[in-house]
Amino acid sequence: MVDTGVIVASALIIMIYSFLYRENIVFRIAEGAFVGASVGRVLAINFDTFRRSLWAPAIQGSYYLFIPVLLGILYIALFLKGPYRWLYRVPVSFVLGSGLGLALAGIIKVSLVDQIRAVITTPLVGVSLYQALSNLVIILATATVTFVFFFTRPHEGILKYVTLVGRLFLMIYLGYQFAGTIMMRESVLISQLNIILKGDGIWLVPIAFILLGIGVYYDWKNGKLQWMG
Amino acid sequence: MNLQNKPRKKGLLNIDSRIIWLLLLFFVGIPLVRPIGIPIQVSPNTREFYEILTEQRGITIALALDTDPAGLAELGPQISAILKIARDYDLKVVMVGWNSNSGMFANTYLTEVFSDVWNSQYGINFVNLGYVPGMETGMKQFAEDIWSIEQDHYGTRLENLPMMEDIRTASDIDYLIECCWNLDYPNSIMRQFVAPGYTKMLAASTALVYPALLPFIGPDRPIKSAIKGMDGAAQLELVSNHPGLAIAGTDAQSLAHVLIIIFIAIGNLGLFFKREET
Amino acid sequence: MANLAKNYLASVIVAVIGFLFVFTYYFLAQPLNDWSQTLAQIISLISLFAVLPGAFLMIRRETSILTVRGPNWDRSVITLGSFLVFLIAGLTGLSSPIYLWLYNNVFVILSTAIFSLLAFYIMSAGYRTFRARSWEATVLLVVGLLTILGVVPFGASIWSGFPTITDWISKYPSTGTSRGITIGIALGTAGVIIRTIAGQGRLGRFIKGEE
Repeated sequence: MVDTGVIVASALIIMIYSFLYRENIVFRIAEGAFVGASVGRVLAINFDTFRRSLWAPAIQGSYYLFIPVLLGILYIALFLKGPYRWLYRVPVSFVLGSGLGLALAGIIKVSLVDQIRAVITTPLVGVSLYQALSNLVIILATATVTFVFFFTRPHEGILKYVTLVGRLFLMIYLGYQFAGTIMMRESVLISQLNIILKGDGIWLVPIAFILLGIGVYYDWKNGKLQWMG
Repeated sequence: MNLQNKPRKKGLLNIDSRIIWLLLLFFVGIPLVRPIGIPIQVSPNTREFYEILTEQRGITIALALDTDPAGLAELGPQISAILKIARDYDLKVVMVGWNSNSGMFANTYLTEVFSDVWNSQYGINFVNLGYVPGMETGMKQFAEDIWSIEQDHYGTRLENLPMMEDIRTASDIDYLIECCWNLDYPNSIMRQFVAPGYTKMLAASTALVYPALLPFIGPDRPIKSAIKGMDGAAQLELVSNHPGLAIAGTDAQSLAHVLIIIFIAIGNLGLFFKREET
Repeated sequence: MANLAKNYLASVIVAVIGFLFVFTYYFLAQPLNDWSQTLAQIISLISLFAVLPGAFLMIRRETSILTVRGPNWDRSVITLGSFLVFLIAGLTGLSSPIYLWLYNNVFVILSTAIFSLLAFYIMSAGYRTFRARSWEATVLLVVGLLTILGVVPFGASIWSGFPTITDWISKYPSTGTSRGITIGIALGTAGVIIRTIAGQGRLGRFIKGEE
C-alpha cells in the first residue's frame, strides 16, 4: 500500500531543495504554502485552545474568564484610525507587564545570584590537583569573560590583559558552539533525507536528478550557468 | 546568495557551492541507505540521565515539548526513547508544552509508543494536556494550579482522567523534562518551576542550545542532568535497548562531519598556499 | 481624562502588574498571591488573541498583491489557498484525520525542510570563512574540530582521546565562559526590564505611546 503522505512529503522536500540550484517557481509554491500553513495552523490551534481553556469553563460558571476575551478583542484597535487606536496597547501592557515581572524576579535568582554562588563555591582545596586546576579554569573563564562585556571603561592597562584572556575563553566557547551548530543543522538534513530515502518517496529522487540535469543543460545552452560563490 | 556576474577565480579557495552541496547530499544519503555500523559509546552524561529516570518505578514525569518542527530532528528521537523508558518502568507521563506545536507533537509521539494500549491506559498512565498559552505567565499558572487548564488536548475534562486526581500542582511532578529548542523555554522553566522549589528538572536539548545550558547543569544546579543532540538520543536508545532513528542517523552524521573537516582543511590549505605565493 | 488614560494607562498597567509578580515571587502575602494566580490565568489567555493582527496583516498583504497582480502574485494564490485549507481543516478539530495528515505531511515537512537548507549553507560558509587568519580564529577552528571529532562515534573510533578532550572542554572552559555570558546577560536584562517598567527606554516609550 503506497503511503501518499510520504510521497507528498518527499515531493515538498525536493521542491524546497530546488532552491539550492537557483530560485524557481517550484520553490515559490512550496514557500507560499508554508507561509499560509503557518498562519492557518496557529489560528486553528489558538481557536482550539480558546474553546477548551476559555470558552467551555467560562460558560459553565467561571465568568471571570470573559475578561481576557474583552481585553483580547482590543488588539483589533491597531487597525483603527482615530482617537481609540491607543486601546491596542492595553492588552499588550498586560502581557508585557507579567512577562517582565516574572522574568525580572526569576533572572535575579537563577541567572545572577545562583551563578555567582556557583563560582564562589567551586572547590580549589580538598580535591585532586587535576580537579583543582580544572575548577580554576572555570573561575578564570567566568571572571575574565564578564569583563569582556564591560564597556564603561576602556580596555587599557591591566584590563587589556584580562579581556585578552577573556577573548581566548570566548573563542574556545564559540568553537564548541560552532560544532553544536553544525551537528544540529546536519541532524535536520538527515531527518529530511530519511523521509525521502527510506520510504515510497525514493522514486522521486531519480526524477528530481533528471529535472535538475535538464535545468542545468537549459541554463548552459542559454549562457545562464554561472559560478555560485 | 544566487547567481553572480563575477569572473570565476579558480583554485582551492573558490569551489562552486553547488558542488559542495551535492557532495554533502551523497555523504549523508549513502549511509542512510547502506549503514556502516560505527560503534557508539555511551557517555557518562547520558548514563546519568538514564539512571535518574529509572531510579524508581512509578514516578511521575512531565515532558514539555517546547520545540518547533525543525527541533524534532534531534529532540524527536530523544522524546521517543524517553517515552519507551517510561513505558518500561511504569512511569506516569504528563505531556504538556508552552509552544503552539506542543499538543500535536505530543500526540505524534504518544501514538508512536502507546498506540497498542491507548484505550486502556490513556488517562491512567499517560495524558496529553496539550498547549498552554502565555509562555512564562502560562508556566506560572500551570505550576501553581495544573487544573486551571480544565481540559486536555483532546477536550476531555481533567476530572475524567484518573491519574490527574493526584496531580494538582507542579509539586506533584517528580521530574520535568524540558525539550530545549531555544533558550527562552528552559530559562522560564527554571524560573517558574525549579527556583520556587516545585519540581526537579532534566533537559533534552539540541546540540545548538546545550552550550548555553552548561552553567545550569549539575547535581546541585537547576538541571540535574541533560542529553544533547542526535548523539545523545542514540546513546539513550542504546542504553535503554530501544534502537531507533538516532542510531540509524549517527553514521550519516559522522560522514557529514568528515566532509566538513575535509572542506575546512581544503580552505585552510588554499589560504596557506596563497600566503606562500605572496 | 481621556488624554490621561491614553498617555499613562498602559504604563501604569505594566508597572503595577510587573511589581505584583515580582513581589509575589519572593513573598507570601494573601490575598496578593491569589490575585496573581488568577491574573496569570487571565493574562495567559489574552495572548491567544495576539495572533489576530498578524493574521489580518498577512491576509491583507497577500490579497492586495493578488488584486493588483503584483510581482510573484502566483505565490499569493498558494499562500492564501494553503491558509484557508489549514484553517478550515483545523476548525474540524486538531485530532481529525485530515488535519493530522496536513499537519504531519505538509506543515512539519515544509518547516523542517526550509530549516534544513541551513545545513548546506553552513557547509559552504564553513569552507569559505572558517580559516585561521588570526590567533582567535585559530583557537576557534582547533576547538571546533576537536569537538566535532569528540562527539561523533567516528572520532572515538580514530582515537579514544577525542571524547575525553571534548568532555573536558564542555565541563570546564565552556561552562565558565557560558556562566560569564549568563551573568552579563542577566545584568543587562534586569536593567532593561527595570527601565521599561519605569517607562523609560525604547519599549517604555512605546508603551506610553511616544513611539
